[in-house]
Amino acid sequence: MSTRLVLQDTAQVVIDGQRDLDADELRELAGLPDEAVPSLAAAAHEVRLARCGSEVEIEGILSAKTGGCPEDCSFCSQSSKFESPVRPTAILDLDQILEAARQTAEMGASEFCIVAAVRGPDERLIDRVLQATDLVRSETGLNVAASLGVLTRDQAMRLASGGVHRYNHNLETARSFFPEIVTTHTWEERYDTCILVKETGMELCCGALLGMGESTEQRIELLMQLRSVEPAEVPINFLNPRPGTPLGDRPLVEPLEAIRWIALFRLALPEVILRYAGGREVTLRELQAFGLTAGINALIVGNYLTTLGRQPQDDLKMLADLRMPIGALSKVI
Amino acid sequence: MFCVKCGSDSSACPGNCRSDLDPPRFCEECGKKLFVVVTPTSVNAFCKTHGIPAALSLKVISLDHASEGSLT
Repeated sequence: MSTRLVLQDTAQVVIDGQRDLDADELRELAGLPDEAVPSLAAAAHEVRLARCGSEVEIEGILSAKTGGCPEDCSFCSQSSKFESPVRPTAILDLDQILEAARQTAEMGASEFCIVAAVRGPDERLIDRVLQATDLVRSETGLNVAASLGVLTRDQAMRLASGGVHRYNHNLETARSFFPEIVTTHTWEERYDTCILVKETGMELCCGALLGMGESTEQRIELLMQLRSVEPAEVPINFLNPRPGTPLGDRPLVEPLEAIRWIALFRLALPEVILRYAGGREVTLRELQAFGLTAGINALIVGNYLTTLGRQPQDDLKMLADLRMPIGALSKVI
Repeated sequence: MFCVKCGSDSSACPGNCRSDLDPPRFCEECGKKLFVVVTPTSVNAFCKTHGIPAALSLKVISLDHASEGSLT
């Protein structure tokens, strides 16, 4: 049977919801030759359309507290453990957060995520985020998400009851590779916060960062682990090597390889909101539209936490050219 | 004068030390790290000694309506 027919059969299994693809099947797809990647992408796109529809969700993100993080995530320029150019800043005030939310709303987004570079939030940060959530929701109508690190149950409950509808906490990489990337906290701590987020009624946004030196097998391991936490959203980040960090000299993921993994993420996680996140501009370059026909159905538009994105109007034009309508994909609004 | 991207002496910096998608990180006057806040459509940067860097008026800003601001 030809590769294309095998892919059609594989896609149909996922479209029909008969069962999830297992690790062996994903491993086989990961090993397809480069020339089969467009067919793989097409299969993933069919799955996305069948299981999620054609709408694309747009989000803006804001680093409300930048740098000075006590954790040692090797990819991150906001860690206090490395000599990076990022200078720590105080928590932004409510006016600054609201202005960023207004910028986000002007881009046509439905989602605004407040992010802080911390191990976990202190009382002051929780209070600020809760106040900002209330303000942003009432002033802009945006859904508010947060990413504040490891949570206690009480903190998670307060965020949930305070209107934070989605919480981001990435697994980042496979459990087996995590100790090579982070030593100040464990993969299990991240997993536990993911479970807590769901238990307290928030949607879980739990993503990945590809290109840190993990193997193909570890990417498949990560897909299985992401599946186990049942996220509503999975942001895919590609390493954008940051000066001064331990991964600062790593090569970028190659564009076609990035498309391959976007497709595999969609085939492995057919119903998630699969979001383009950090690193897409430098990684995919001219192939950014290709990702939207390989399984992606959400974007972070505008700037990132410490780096800039491309012009929002370029992304909006891309979506219009693809005839993909913008909409909110949340399950709870 | 200093490169706002890498902080080295601007006469020694080839000008392509960082990508266009990297915001300014160093004061062009003193070479010290800037306080920088990146928002969805703007960049706000501030040097404790020299205020807002002139480089912010250049193309490093993502949108036309990027606002000036400072951090204290």
